[in-house]
Amino acid sequence: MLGLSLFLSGIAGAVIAGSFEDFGDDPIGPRFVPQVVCCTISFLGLVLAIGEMRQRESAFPNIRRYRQSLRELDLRPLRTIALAFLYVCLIPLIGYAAATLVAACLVIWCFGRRSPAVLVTTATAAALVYHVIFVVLLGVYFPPGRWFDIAGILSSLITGA
Amino acid sequence: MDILSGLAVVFSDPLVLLAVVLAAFVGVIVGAIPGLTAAAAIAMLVPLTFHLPPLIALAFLYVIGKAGRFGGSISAILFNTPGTAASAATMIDGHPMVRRGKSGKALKVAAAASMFGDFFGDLILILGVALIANYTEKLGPVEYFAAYMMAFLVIGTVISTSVVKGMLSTLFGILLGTVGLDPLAATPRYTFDNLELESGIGLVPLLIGIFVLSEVIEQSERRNAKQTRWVDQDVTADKEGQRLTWAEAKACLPVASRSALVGSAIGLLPGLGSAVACFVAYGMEKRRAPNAAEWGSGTVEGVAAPESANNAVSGPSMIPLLTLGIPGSTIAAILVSVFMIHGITVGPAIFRQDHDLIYALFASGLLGIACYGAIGFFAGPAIGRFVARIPPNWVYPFIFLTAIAAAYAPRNNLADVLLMVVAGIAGYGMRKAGFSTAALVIAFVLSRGAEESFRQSLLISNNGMWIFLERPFVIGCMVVTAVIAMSTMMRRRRQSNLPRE
Repeated sequence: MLGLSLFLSGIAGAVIAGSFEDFGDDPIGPRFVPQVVCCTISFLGLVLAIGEMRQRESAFPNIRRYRQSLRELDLRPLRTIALAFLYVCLIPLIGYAAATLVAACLVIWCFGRRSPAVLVTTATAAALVYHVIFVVLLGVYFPPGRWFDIAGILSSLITGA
Repeated sequence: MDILSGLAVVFSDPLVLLAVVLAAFVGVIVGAIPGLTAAAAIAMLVPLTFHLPPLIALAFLYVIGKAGRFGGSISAILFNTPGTAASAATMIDGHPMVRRGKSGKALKVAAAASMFGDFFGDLILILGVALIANYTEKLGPVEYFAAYMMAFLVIGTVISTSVVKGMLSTLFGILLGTVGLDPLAATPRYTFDNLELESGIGLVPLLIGIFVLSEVIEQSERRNAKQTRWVDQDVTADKEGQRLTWAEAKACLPVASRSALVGSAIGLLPGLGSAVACFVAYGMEKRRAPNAAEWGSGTVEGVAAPESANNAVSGPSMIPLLTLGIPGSTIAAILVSVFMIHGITVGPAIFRQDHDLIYALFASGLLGIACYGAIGFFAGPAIGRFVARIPPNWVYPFIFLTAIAAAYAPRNNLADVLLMVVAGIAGYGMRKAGFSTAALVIAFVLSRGAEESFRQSLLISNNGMWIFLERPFVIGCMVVTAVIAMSTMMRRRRQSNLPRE
């Protein structure tokens, strides 16, 4: 499957590269290198696919084995990946500090800590520490959240504005 | 001598001294934590050094790389788990020494051999780099392209367990490097009308995703709630076998010297790195040792050889970076981004434009070696006990949070964070499928320069592609590549033909 995917991806990449506009004066233009690389990827993908087919017991994919491996699939990495995307989506909506608080809770939970008190305490401390280090000390700018922004609310409470 | 003025610069600036000492501690501890590599730590810390003066930023990250290579030996020896790939060979004799109650001796040998190898490599760097830069300044795009192709082919054939997957990893890296505007014609390539992609794929988010987030994803698969320590064994202090005697040190000296030579030679070639050097040196020394039968059961020479070799890679791996702009290792590839961020162009001209900075960096490296050597020699067991107590289930959540912030910090752009997440998923997938993330990163860094030099060569050529066969340097690169590729394939074939036990 992997080899076949690479074979087809390489061909797709080469076809897309064929659409690049060529205004340059050099003999080969902007398409040559991407097309050569994609064709080589395609060729090596084919080599990999042939190797995979040789290692298989039969010429046809074993559907039962694929179903079995899907049932046994470990969801923990998928959880971490989903959490990363969630964190990226939350930052513009609720601000960096609040998004970090939520993400810290969830990621510590993903790595095995289940006590609510530990989760909330640690996540709150983490959000504060990261806000201080990155926003206050290093001057990294995070725009305020579209829905609400904890950091902005806290700053206005502190300054009295 | 230039290095003396470099040392004067370093010792006259307390902030540089502080950065070097701190980097030595950070590097040793990060290297000692299984699963965390110096490359991952450096990738995360790069954005934090943007606002620092160039020397402090470069010295800090450079010394972390050196100390991290040594730090991996602590977990290899004490926990039988290499902290980095470079210390995998150290495990073979290092851990049996622990089981025989000689953990202190093993750590002292590792520290001394690492220092020796690293000093040796840095000596080659300091004495040789300016001479090589004088020569490489005369090279043109044809020779540069030959050097890039040699790097791609060597990386592709050596760095991965499978040649096909190694070459595919390299090709992916080259392809990623073509995303953005074409270097000569400014044509958008693979941008899909997305403005963010027109400036290309950012190196810092890619590095953080590939090295850091992919590790976090992999660790989330391995870690469970019941696991509160890295290893299920106690690192207890042993009363006997703590000392390294002068006779033992003398016996290790010729072993460390030859291994340092091997490591330095491997460090000069882009892409090979410490992981290759440690095994080559171990195998070579075992074959010639009079007590070869004892190797593998806990000999001091069996620890000295790989440690000297893997640290000797560090200095010479900077030579292709500084003289040709070709990083010789993953850490050197990351340092390219630091040079670029501070407006310094790597290549032979660096010795004219930033001469004082470069020699101050070399001096920082020498000081860093002394620092991590002292830390390892006197505090190695304590560091091992400290690492053994860190709950892994706390480390990786904070690495996750730091990775997100570090990817955002360089350009204050959420698109970089999204790119980092995608790179993390790709890096995790690559590890699972047996591809090489290091090959992808190095090829990505080299991609643009390789394409520019290739197209410039054809522009100046009267003979089309034949220009590449008209230069002796090109023929030399082809011969070196062929020798390395053939010897790698023969070694792998011999290993696969060995009878299974």
